Amino acid sequence: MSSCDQRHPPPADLLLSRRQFFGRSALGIGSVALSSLLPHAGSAAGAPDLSAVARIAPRARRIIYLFMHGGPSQIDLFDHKPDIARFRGQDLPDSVRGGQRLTGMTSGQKTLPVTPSLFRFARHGQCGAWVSELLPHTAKIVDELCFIRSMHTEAINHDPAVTLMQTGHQQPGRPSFGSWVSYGIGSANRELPCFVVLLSRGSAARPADPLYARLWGSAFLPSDHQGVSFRSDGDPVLFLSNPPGVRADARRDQLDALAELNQQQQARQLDPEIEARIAQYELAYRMQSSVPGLLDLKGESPSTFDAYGPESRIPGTFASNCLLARRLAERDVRFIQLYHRGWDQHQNLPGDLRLQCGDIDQPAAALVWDLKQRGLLDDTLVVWGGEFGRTTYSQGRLEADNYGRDHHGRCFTVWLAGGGIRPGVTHGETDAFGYNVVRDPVHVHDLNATLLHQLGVEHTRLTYRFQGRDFRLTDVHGNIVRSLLT
Amino acid sequence: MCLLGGLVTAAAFAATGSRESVDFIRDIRPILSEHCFSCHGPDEATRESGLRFDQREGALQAAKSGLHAIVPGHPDQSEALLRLTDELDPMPPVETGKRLTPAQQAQFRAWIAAGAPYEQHWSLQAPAANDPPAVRDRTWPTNPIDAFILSRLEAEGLAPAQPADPATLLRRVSFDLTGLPPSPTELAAFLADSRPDAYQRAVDRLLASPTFGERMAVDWLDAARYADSNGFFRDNTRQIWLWRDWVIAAFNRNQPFDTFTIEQIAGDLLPHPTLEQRIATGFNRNHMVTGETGVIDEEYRVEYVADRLETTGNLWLGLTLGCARCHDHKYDPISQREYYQLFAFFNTGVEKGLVNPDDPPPVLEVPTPRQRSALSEAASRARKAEAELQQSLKPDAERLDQWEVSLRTEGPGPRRESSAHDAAEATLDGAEEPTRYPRLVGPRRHEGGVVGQALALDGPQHLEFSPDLPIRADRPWTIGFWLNPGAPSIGILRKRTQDRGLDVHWSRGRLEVSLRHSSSQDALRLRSAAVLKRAEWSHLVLAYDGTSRAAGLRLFVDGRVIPVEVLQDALSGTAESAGSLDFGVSGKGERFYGLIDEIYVLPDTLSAEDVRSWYWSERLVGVLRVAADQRDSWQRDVMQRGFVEMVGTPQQHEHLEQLERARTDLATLRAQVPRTLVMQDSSPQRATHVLRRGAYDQPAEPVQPGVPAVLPSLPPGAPLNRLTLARWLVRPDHPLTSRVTVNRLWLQCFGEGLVETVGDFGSQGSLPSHPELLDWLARYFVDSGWNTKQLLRLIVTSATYRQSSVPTTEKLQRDPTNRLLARGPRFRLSAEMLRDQSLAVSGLLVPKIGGPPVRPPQPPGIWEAVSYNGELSYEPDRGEGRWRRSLYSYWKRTAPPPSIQAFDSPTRETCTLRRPRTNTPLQALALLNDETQVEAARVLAASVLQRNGLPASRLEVLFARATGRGPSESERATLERLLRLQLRRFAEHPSLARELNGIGEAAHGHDLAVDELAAWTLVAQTVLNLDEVITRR
Repeated sequence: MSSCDQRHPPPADLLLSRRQFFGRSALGIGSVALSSLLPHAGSAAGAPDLSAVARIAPRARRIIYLFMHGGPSQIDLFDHKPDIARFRGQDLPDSVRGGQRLTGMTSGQKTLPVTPSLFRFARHGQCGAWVSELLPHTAKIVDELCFIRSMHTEAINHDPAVTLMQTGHQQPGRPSFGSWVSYGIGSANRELPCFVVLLSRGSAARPADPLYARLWGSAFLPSDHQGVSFRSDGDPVLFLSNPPGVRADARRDQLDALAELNQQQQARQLDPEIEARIAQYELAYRMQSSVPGLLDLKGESPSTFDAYGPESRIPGTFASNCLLARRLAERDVRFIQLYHRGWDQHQNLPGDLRLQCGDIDQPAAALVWDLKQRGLLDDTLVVWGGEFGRTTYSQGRLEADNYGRDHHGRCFTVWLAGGGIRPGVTHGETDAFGYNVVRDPVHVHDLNATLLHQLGVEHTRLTYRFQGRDFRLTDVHGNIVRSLLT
Repeated sequence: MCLLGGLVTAAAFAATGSRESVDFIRDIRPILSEHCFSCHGPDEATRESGLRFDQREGALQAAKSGLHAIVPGHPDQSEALLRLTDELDPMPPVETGKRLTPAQQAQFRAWIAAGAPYEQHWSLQAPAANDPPAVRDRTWPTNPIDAFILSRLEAEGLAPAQPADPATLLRRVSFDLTGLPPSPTELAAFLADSRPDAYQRAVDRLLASPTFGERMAVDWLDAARYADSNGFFRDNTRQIWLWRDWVIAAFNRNQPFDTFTIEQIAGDLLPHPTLEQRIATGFNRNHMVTGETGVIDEEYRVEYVADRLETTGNLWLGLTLGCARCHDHKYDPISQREYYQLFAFFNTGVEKGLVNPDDPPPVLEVPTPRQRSALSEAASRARKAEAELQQSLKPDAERLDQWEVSLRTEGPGPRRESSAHDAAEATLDGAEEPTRYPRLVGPRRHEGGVVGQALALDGPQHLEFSPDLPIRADRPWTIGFWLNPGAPSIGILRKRTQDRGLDVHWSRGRLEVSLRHSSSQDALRLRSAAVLKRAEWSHLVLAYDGTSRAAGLRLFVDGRVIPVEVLQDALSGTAESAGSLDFGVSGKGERFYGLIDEIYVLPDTLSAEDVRSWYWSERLVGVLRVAADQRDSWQRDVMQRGFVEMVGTPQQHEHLEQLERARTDLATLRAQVPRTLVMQDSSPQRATHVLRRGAYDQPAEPVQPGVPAVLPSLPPGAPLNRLTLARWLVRPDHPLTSRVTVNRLWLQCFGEGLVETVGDFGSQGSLPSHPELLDWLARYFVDSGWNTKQLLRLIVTSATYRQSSVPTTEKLQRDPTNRLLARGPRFRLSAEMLRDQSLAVSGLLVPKIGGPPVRPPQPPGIWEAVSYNGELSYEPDRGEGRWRRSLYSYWKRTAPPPSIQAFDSPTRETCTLRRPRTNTPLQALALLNDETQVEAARVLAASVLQRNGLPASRLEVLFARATGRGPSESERATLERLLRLQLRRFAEHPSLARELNGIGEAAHGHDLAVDELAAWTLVAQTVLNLDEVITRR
């Protein structure tokens, strides 16, 4: 977990300064964590020359990222295409597809039959955003949301696509979004990790695609920036509980003895790491009560559970994780990443998509609403989306009441809420078939640049030198989508 | 740019010489690289104004504007210098956020004034032949390393530290060379050894210990990104641990680094390669591979080649070659074309991008000597049985011919009315798309089948038959088909509505069949072990007699009934389902990967006899098509087997049975033979092209294998293959390989390289802190015959290494990161060392070297949380697998071992040459609460308690076991107080003590008083968590 703000205990002239620490951990010269560049963090003593660094007032203090793993079908949820009804079952015109590559799953298919959504759409809220009948609760909060219907990515398969969304690169080896934020801004809460990950499985009949530790890994960043997975079974954080037979009082005795012995060692060794180690053991001890306290939902009112839906009482569900996300936000955890699995509807889409939406619709909407009620939405940015969209044509046979859709990177929909994002906006547009973006395209890098910007981070400046190169989350790309911002 | 300001800096380049004069390599080139090269550097495509600063010629030429950036000797006429301070149009441009400090500007000016001399980047020049410098204090140095270090210290006005005390030193060097603490006996012997060379002897003992190879292997495994799983998407398991064991053995036999290199990169291309040399090539197979349905094969194949090149570049050359994949390198003199010339060396393999099997080919089978003899015994039994069978068939040649004729006449199939076959065949063979059932859901692909074409399924597809087929409990029916599974776990068949109906799936080697009327109670369930073989055709028949009893449902594989385990026999309902009969998917939605062919659904049950002839009639279709005298041995063999089984004599039957038994034994033995991934070139060799923007589908001009022009050239006339590349890497005059390698070994002993950026010796890398020493070591290493142990011996016997790590306040202030080495190195132990130490100190460590990966305990649920459909579970080993050294723990890339990951280990997805070192609360939790750590503390406590003596002396023993020294008075008092408190607690709550003592599998201490054992366990745990114990000082 990150401990940017407590890596070294109170100043002693023997300690490395923050600045030196980052210079070192960057494996070289020239890399400076943004945390020491931001006005609100770090000591000013000997600060580097900041004249060339753009400073941005942060609009969001934290991000809650609701990741729909597998690729939700934008065309059945948000990107309403009523006009394709008359092309139903006809082959998608080559002029639309434009020779774009397909996955190995449909590249051998003889026809690509245009497949209108089976679901009814309606306009909602004052903004009149289109939402399908599968998301009735989301439909009620559209005036809080900003829909980006023009997301696009080059990746067409899960592993590279999710890796791109979460690390800015299709191949492994880059730090995850949350670890960049942990590295760049650091923790606002000394008792909890900076970057927390919550996993849940979907209800779809189709098996859920796998996840990978790299999606919350730190790659070449110092490893204390990696995400900490909060688990619903067993220890909520790995190794959090004392072993059976060891009560808190006994552990306290141990830590007291340990601190005494380590202090004696420090007097002999003059090693600032020892002070830091004593502090980490104490922090560990505090986490043993703060984390269970965080996870204990007993204090939540029945009306809260009602709002998030009945599953919010069942640990490990997406609903329960949404409620936890709010509690983490209240405790100022910087990056809260939820993964909900099972959005890969290659076939039986109508049935499975309904099940998936049933998992997430009410809790996601409740989360936004709850944050707003508590005044947290102003500085919390909620992101909802997956790694790509789904094809406008059917994978396999198009039937009266059944179809599937393959992966589609040319367009997909993501929604944002809070954190200085304009509410009630629909951004971007796709063509009549819902295949290509025709207006205001937003690439994955553009989205990430924009999210970082809201956190007060200039995405081109958040760099880390590794193997001779200054790496960043947005690689060498990314444009802030200013029209999304309040 | 420089963060360390007035302190001693990484720009410690040039240990001697005036700090006033400007040095191009030390002072100027880093400025140019950082501020100028990205627009005025090696990359022609993005070069601005025709100006480049990476070469003197280019920097002195007139730019497109006609102005001269640099006019040697005339700073005020040099446009580059003027622009640094230009208000309106400064360089570097404002938007880069980069700016030279006033000090750098002054250096730049002085350099131009001095004539703007250029020098080749330091690491591309051959290491200089330096003599160790003269030093004032002649008594301190023990070998040439010390002269280089001391010379710099003297220049800085610093004195070295005192030697470390012997116990600390032995612990330090034991960890650095073997990854383990010294045993109490080793420590005692060392402390008692008063000979002047006692330390050298201890070092020799450590270098000769087999644990040396294990310790060395950990770093090499990080670099090679070794893991026991494939990494992408489903992250299937793979076997490449024989390569890991090869690495351990190579270090232990002190294989010279040049042949160590050659065998790993090109062992297969050596003349008459040995088995070991071929295993060594696994180095380049350690990259991740994907089995994700739908990925584009070539896209990933190209990624694998790029990964090999990146790893080789980092590990041997210290170059960031990957930067030249899409365009010319921005900082170093490597063009994109040269990148693809290097790429071409690795672009030769037979492997694919999209890989389904667990062990992606090419693989080598490596039987143990015992397996080898068992295999040869079974093979000779098979030959004998074969001969006997042939003998007995001789008189029957005519009957065999007649039988063949009858087969042709009758044709393939079950000789029954089929409800589904004809329509199914149209679908399976890829003929016209039928209008309704059966129909294929998902993309169509075909491969050769048992009869005609088979349908290939790779996950998303399945085949639907009419819901009207009477597959239900109260009717007889038979379903038969051929299948060739491509994955270890597949869904095969379903006819279900919710929980009702038929379900067939194969997972983890078991075939499971259920016919249910309701979810759990009203059902019939069978299970059969190991009946299908991956990547082989099997004929599966389910014959049901309509009696609702388990005995009425028989399973046949290849014409023979197979034994089943009845899990449930309580079906009373009809189990009738309105769902379609689907092939290629199970009731739970598991998918099918592989081939499927010749589906029959019959409204009747069949006799064993019928099923057998059905099987043979189809099995032999392909063979019958080949004229008798054209058949190969396999085809003749199948024909004869069919004949014997169908119409053979009892004697023929007996010989056939013997033959089959021998063959089954052979197959079973073969399956147990370890496999390992190796390199193997394809023939003819694949052409390599420059790839525009690095994209697999954007080939440009073709290139031949070659090396960058800035480096030594290949020997003329040598074949352009990996072997030539490998030999080139270890040329004695190669400027990079030796420097990069000694730098990594230095890192191992000092916690920091002489060059901090161990994988980047290029323009953007850091400069060496002691360049003359680096060069001296590099030459020493090559001159010694690339002798790794000798170099390590030199390093750890230096006075520099043997200094105490306790700093003075002044040294901490002047040199907080200890770049000058005016004191000994100290740092937290690595993840593996921490766990291995607890096992070693407690006595639990099982000192076995090598073998398949082991599974020590880890918290439950970690694999399920990320694996495909949550289907993989981690099953901890019982017994010795729990207590092996950590480098043997199974490494799953998508969920690495958590107790190792908590301490900065990489994920082993990409080449890692240096682990970060963090200090986090999660580490405290792991050390205090991980099951293995608690178990080790209890075993340590038990071993101390089993000694006679007073608590005070026991405490002393306990403390010394972990730290190598006795406790001070106050330390003893602290621990005694802790012990008293815990004794009281556990005496009051013996049940708590029992719980604590019950953790882990080791039986140690269970004969002791429970409260005493528990209290001592907590004391032992406290001691094992001391900073002194988890840090190497």
